[in-house]
Amino acid sequence: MAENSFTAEQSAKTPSVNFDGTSGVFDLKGKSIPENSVLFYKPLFDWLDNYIQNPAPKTTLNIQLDYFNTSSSKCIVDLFKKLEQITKNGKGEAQINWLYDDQDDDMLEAGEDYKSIIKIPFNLVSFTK
Amino acid sequence: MGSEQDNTIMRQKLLMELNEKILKQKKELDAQVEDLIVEKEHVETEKKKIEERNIKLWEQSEAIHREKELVEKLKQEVEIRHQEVIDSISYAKRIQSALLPLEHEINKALPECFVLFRPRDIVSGDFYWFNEKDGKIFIAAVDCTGHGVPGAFMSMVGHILLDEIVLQKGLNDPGKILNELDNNVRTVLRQDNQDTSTRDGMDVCFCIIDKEKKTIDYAGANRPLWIVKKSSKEILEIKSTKTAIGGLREEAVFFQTTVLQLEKGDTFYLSSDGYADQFSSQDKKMMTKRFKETLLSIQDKTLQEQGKFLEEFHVNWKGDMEQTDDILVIGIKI
Repeated sequence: MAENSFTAEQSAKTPSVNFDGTSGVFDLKGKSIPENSVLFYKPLFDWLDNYIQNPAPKTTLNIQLDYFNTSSSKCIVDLFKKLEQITKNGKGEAQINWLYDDQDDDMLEAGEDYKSIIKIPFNLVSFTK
Repeated sequence: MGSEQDNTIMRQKLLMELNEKILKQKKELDAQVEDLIVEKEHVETEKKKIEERNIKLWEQSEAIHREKELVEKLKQEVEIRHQEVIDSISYAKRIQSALLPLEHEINKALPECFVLFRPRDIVSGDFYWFNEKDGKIFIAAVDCTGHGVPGAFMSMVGHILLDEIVLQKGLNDPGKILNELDNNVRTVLRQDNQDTSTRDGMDVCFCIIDKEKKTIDYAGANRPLWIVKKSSKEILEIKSTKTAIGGLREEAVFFQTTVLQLEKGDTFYLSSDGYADQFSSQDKKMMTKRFKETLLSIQDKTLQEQGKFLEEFHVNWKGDMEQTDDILVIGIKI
């Protein structure tokens, strides 16, 4: 089962990652401000590259970030693009839920920006803290 | 005679008994001696064991001591290296500071103005750029990807390119300046090639102020311009082009200039995202909304007071939390 999921504990500078390859439910939550974002996301992307070859029928990413740095934002796009691949390859469906604090206009705006360039269902979901 | 014989027999008997006693005692003594010998052997083996153990302990303690010395030495080396890095970056800060506009020059051109500049580390990825040309004031707040040393490298690139574009090439339209900056950054950092490219870039808020006409020409790359009209209770936000300078580009982007007519007493703000992105000790983000509210709440203050207030507010908000990012806020009153 270990291979069928990817997890990482939340740290002060990196989000918690909980990608369950069996159910297709992916959670990513917290801050993403690693000094070297590319290095942090590499193992996750390697796992995803494998997953999208044989994905669950439905993949849902719930992503809830308080803050991310510019270098992470590029990795986040890459993450979304990988999920796009699932739909593109016709191997399953994928969608993204962008969860944001209803007071945080910056995170709403970031979500809107991503939504405009991502070609799979992208839901902006607000919550009250 | 008979008694003499008796006596002899008695003596012999006594002697025999004595002899027997002595023999018994000797046997006992022999047994004790044997016990003692066994005990002695035992004590000797114990002693040997203890000695061996002692040697082992000695060796172990020696090893620990050597280890401790090594750790101590490594610690010292790390400390020295750390100090060297700090010294080196601190020296780099002098270079970065030398490039930054001088406060009194800005104040001379813009008497009612503040610049709140708080790098997260010693050197900064945020920088501000200022020049006076043909009676106009050129001012920019720039936020380069990252912070610390990589941010500072980028800021050097940005600073030099802005000098070249504005002072040597003589461009005087913010949109055109940002377009040129974008092209030059991508050329300088070879970002035209997917394989070798770095994706680093910068967010910019660029203004050209005409003090006579009280106009601002503004162009932005991911950073808006905020205006508070005199005696207004709201912030007017001039939105930026939603693209950073530099980085990979799938399609051509043109940065647009917006011309704004202001009146005496109007205030405007250029900033990076660092102020709004600061987390409190309760891990609560400042957020743009609260930042704007704070700006609106201090409109009765002079610009110098506003700068001080914002700095104190930030320090209190931050508490014992690490600073999230470089901070740059520039406020100017016409």
